[in-house]
Amino acid sequence: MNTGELLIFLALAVPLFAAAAIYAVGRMPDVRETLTIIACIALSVITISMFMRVGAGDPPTLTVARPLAGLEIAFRLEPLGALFALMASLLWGVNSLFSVGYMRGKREANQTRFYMCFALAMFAVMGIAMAANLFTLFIFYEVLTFSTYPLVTHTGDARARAAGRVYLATLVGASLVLFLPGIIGVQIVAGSTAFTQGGLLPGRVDATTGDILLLLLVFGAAKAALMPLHGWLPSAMVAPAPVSALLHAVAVVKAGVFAILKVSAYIFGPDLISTLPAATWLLWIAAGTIVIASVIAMTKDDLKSRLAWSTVGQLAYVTSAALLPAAAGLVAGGLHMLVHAFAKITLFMCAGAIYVATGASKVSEMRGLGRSMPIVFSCFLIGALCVIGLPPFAGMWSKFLLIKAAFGTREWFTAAAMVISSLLGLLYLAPVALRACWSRLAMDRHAPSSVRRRARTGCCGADDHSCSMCRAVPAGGWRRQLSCANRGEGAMSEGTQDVAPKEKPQLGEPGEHPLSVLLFSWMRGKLFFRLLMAGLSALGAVLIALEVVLSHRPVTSLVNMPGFFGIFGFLAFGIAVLSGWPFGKLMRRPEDYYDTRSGEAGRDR
Amino acid sequence: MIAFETLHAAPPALTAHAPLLMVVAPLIAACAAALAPSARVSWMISVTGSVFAAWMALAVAGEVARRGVVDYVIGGFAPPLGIALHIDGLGVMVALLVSSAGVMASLYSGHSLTTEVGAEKHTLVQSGFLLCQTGLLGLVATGDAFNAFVFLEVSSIGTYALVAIGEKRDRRALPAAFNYLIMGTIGATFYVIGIGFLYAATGTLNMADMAARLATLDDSSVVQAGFAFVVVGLGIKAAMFPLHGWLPGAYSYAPSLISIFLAATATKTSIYLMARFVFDVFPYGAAFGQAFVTWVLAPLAATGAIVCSLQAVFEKEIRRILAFSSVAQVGFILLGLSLATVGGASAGLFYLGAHALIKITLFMALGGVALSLGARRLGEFAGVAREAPWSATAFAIGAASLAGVPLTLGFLAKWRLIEAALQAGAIWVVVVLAIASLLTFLYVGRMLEAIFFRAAPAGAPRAREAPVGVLAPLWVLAGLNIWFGLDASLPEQLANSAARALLGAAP
Amino acid sequence: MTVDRLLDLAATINPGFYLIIAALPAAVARDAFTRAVALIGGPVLGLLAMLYPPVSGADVSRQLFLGFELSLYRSDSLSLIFGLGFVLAAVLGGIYSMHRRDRLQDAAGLVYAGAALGAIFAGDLITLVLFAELATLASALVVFAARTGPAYRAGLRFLTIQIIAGLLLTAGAALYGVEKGTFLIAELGGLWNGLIVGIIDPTSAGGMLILAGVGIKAAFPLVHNWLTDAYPNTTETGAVVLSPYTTTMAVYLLARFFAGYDPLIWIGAAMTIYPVFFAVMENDLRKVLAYSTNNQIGFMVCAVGIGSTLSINGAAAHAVAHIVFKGLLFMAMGAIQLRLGTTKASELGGLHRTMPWTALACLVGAASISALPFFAGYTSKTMIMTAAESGPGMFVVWLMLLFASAGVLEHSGIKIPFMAFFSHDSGKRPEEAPYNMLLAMGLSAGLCLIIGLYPGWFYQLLPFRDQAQEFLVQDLFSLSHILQQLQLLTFAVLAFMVLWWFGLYPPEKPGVILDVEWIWRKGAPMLGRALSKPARAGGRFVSVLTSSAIGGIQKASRQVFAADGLVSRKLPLSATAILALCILGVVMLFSMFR
Repeated sequence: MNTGELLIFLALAVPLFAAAAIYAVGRMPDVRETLTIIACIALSVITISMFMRVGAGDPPTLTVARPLAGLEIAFRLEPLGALFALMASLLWGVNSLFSVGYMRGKREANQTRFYMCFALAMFAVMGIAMAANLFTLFIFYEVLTFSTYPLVTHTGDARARAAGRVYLATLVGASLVLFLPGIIGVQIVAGSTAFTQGGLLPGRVDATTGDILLLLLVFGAAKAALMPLHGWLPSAMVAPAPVSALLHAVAVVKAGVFAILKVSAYIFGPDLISTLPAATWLLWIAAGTIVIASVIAMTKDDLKSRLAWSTVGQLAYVTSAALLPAAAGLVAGGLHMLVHAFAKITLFMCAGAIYVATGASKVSEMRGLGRSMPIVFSCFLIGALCVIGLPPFAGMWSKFLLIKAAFGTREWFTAAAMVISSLLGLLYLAPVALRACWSRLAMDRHAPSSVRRRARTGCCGADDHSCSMCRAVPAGGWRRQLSCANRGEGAMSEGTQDVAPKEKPQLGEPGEHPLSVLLFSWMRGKLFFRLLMAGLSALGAVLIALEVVLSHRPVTSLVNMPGFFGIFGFLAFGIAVLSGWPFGKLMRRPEDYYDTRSGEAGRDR
Repeated sequence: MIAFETLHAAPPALTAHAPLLMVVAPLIAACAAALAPSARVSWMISVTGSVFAAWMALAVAGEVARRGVVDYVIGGFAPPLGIALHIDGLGVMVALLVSSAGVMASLYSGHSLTTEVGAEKHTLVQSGFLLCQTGLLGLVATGDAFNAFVFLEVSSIGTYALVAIGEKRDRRALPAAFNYLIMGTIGATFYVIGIGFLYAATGTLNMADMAARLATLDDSSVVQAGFAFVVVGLGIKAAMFPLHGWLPGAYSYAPSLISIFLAATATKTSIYLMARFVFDVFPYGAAFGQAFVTWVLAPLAATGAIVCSLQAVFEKEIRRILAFSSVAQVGFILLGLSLATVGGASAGLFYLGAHALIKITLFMALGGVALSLGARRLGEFAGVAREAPWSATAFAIGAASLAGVPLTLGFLAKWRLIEAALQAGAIWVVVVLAIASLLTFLYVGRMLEAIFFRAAPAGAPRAREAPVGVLAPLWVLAGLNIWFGLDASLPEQLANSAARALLGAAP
Repeated sequence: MTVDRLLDLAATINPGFYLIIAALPAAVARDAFTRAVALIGGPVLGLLAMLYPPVSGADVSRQLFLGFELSLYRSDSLSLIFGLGFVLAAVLGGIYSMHRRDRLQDAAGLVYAGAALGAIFAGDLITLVLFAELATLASALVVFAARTGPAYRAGLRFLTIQIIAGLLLTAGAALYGVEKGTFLIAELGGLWNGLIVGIIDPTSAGGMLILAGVGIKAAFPLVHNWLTDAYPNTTETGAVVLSPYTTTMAVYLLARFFAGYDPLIWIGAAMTIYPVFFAVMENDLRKVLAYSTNNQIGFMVCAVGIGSTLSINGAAAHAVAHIVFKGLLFMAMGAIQLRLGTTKASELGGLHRTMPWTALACLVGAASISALPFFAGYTSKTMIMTAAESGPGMFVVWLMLLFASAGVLEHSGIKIPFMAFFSHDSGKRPEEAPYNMLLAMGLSAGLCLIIGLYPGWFYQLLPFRDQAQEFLVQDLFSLSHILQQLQLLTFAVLAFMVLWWFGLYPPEKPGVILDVEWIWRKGAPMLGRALSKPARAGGRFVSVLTSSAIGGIQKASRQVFAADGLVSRKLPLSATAILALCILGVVMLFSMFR
């Protein structure tokens, strides 16, 4: 056994052993959780070293068993799988740390089973990531399903059990009815299910068989939640937050899209995919999934449910990427899988943290929480922006690559769906954090205008330190006023009375600034106005006269006529101003026009 | 992987007579057990007889692997007159199955009987059990159609009585046994009528001779009538849908020893005999054979697989669930056979073996827990996983195997079945298999959910972990489910050679 | 040696990054000094980096990332002039907001400025999109930083529209790059008069998408509403931070990509006209300024559309001048906002008594924006007007621009200072603006004057330097130009006085003016309410249908298959026997009549 094979073996053995050990020490929570963390670290080290080795020399292969003639349980390390394994193991560590806090914070029951199943799920993920053929992948794919079932039903109440049933029925149903026949079909057609560079099937299938196999395999991987097999994902939201993170980020759904990526890359190969009509149909379905899931996500008030629908949409991105008839799509898909994993786990952990800390699970309950949980909501915002695909966050790159690949292969629907979904993503994800942070006063829409005005000045920082900052300002009269405003109590609304300048001016009105006296005081009164008018008229006359004298242009048109600009200016100004009367009548509405009858464009989410 | 060619399990002297010894040993043991002074002794005799039979079966397996076919003539009378034993690859497979199931069941019986049957009846139960074993092994070994009937009845009579003994725990055992008796007798009668027709047409009872003569007789309506009676008679015995009415009761109310043994073997041997007649004795090329397989056997098998799975889904008693499941799985096996290709037959027979192993595991695990709990309904098993984790886990392994979860034997069996169907181009079979598998999964899920994920209701009787005597064979079986799930070369080899023996000449 | 090398390295970094990096200390600093250093130092560093290597017109820094060839920093004279404007705005904005210890807004403002600057100096479409999106995010944060309900909602609308623009830009860039096989600006098109401008074909699909995205950012007609919606809802300094970048960046992009695209002329002309009418009606002076921005950007868009060297010079010059004088006007309004908490004309008036410095600065800004000769606006706008005048078949456009010029005078030149600082006395006596504000206003006003009085150095910086010099010498201060402009302004002011005198000037009334935003602020919710009932009913219908169907199937199959169901009911033995006989019959039939 050389190093590569040893690494493969260890990657499988560590989580499996960890699961057994966790079960053994289940009575001692501290030991159990320490064990989990140690296993996470060990696995991360292993996957990192695997990742470093990828591409150097022959890929290490480890054959474990040959159950039937022609069938092998075998593992091989290739870049996509190494990436997946690395991602999953790193996130396992993160998630385990989070779990410790969450599970203890919520005093959940059956924690040993939780940690054990988690480790088993990681075992399955490692198997999926390193599978050398479809058969092996399928085996571990199923192991993953079963090892996560107890996690989904963790709370054990009726809702959880119902969700668990949907979970199992969908995943197992799809894999039995679709995935398995598809794999066996591949086995019959090609005599093997080994993942082959450039594709196993090219040259071995006709278009119809290829279509059928592709449909079977893509829909069969129901973990990818391609519509209409997506229902299990939102319903699995009843599970505790760490489990949701596992489902959505670390393992389960990623295993689905990973399977599709592998099938596309190594069973069909981009060349064959590009000739199959089924790939196009699937792309449409994926595009539809992207948009519909995003729209549904917008309607959800429950945060985790919203995130779940978001996942459905994001997974369809990867599915699309896998089905784009270009190798570039695969790269984009792999990257998006990775990026989405990190972003989604952030979001779910934030949701979990909010829930543990405040008990709020609905978006509408989170207004103003950003004040007390700034870090959590900042993280949420970052995760959201990453999912949406905005710079400077990683989601930008995968999304750009995807859109580019879609354009490159002239799949307009896919590209359009991705663009639209980004926008919808903005609408349903970003406001969660934004509103929590900045919408505290949104309720004050009908508050007295003094309060609103005070708010408008932007000096209403509720926390102490903004006050102290104001006090720290070295000098200047405005400091006093600001501090007043900060202390609140409507000081600002009566600002004019409050601000009584200290100095007593000699000239002009009481309180007037000397400069004002100097510059402007003589302007007051009707006399000045008349004089100015006369002066301006005179100036205008002079200007026209000057133009007549100086202009050597012949008067060939209206424009060349002396005084044209003056007359035009007069008329234009007059028209512009006078238009204010009718237009004002027509278009002016009361100030609270948009605020009445919930007239705001959509409730702020 | 075991290479049977190199298998010399017994000294040559024994090997030479192994086919006969395999059948006779349990018979002798049965007599001895009936006379045994105590329950303990009868158990020991039972175990010894079963083990010896299994040993001989292994020896025969070695011989068959080397020579292809073992013919054994009892008393030196040549076949047309005398009784001949004729064992080929197919026979070996089923013989190994029956004898190893017998070993497991007898090992298990030591503990189960004490709680299920009155001590005074132990010797009789063991005797009946061994008699049953004799019948089944003889059925497999014999090359004579009428002898097959005799052995069939020997085994059946044993089981009728044994099912009725379950009366101590559940009164419903009596009507179930009666039901079984009537149906079994109808089946046997049909069979023997069919043999009568065939004898009239061919003038021989030896299957090999019969096959040779039938090859030229396929237009004879006597032959056709005989064929019809034989297959329908065996269909009843094999619990082919819709003739399975006897099975749920018989499996559910019998003492667990009998459930275990019956579940693993009874229907399997009848399927063996049916396959032998359909594909081997009758010229399969004959149109009526093909018509039967295509238009009767396959549709009935498919309907059975789905309907009985559905019944299992809605059933509330856990043993009846397993019983319905058995009927459904018979449908799976027959579907495989009905493909009428070597691959299909091999897959079907592989499934047959796998199912035997699975069901014996399940019934044994269930029996082990039920020993202490006395529970029957699904709800009463809530929380058992906490009190009897080892039994529950073994049950889970068996159930996973039944549902076709990867890394178990059941998965590979399903894989082979679907593969064979796809290879034969029978897409509809794939669809039926997929749907039935899904339903299987549903009822398996229901059982596991009750056992593992539901808390026991307060005040419910507490289950105890099964005794080691039960756990040891149980875990051997559970382990085999996994082991074969990782390396199924042994059953695959057996099934392949059996299929070749059955359909070697067929395309 | 090492220092030199470090400097060389520093000079290869896109100047925008300096500002973005400076945002970090600005975000965490709690003492005034660090803040000041970050707010001023960042832009200054950016300026140095921008100027250090002489303008090359080549990619300074090329990187390979994810298989793309990126040019993170590319500088030529077109970028440089806009970059200067941005750095200037960043410095002035920094000084202006120094009193306001708002770390979020400071940091967001710096990132915003840096990202806009980065976009200006981006050498390829991907880098451009990246910076543009970053700018969008940061600008939205600036709006949110007001931390009020209206600002939150306005910010959300702002963000949404900007992201739509960004997505269009992204999609367009991807599509265009894929079609052309390169994302590098230098490779997308050739030189035109020594500059790479007008390089994207607006009739291709990708080009159209890019144009749409840029168009939204430039606040083209019907998509202009984000501008007038967001700016008035910011903090008193927010509008100052917000106003220079997004629209100006869009003008830059239009010039870079679509210079000479004829439809832009008409779009620009339309943009100059309609805000005039809105501005007349509008009560909130900061909103008036937002409309005014819209109008000024119209001049630039029109100039870009004309696409002569003169007009592009004009657009660039006007962009920078606009940054300065519009910033100045926003600063003045910001001071009022700070002191009074409102900029509604109906609540103001007579503020010059206590805020004379602010009033003075505001007047300078008003004069500049009205293009009074010897103020900044004149220097730049004259170029545009001249370019429009000289083009063939441009008469109507030119008239429209001329009308808009009179309109500018109305809303920005007169209404802003007059309604706020003079007009009838509102009785309010707020304190003069804080010193830092006054300083910023003073500097801006000074710049307005310097540009207006000594345009030579300014013209040096324009994209087409030679043509600019030529214009400076021949046209700018030619008597006819000055006379014409003075005439226009004089008589327009006269018109104002007449109207005022006769009470014909429309009174300032509180209220909101309907605009296209009605569609999404009022129309969409109405539509949603109208549709939600049937949609919900339909959804309920479907769910009831499916659940009852599933329930029905379940119930039916339970009735059939359950223990006491149809199939499972215990059949009498005879029935089974008859069944067996039936099957026997079937088998026989099949055997005999095959």
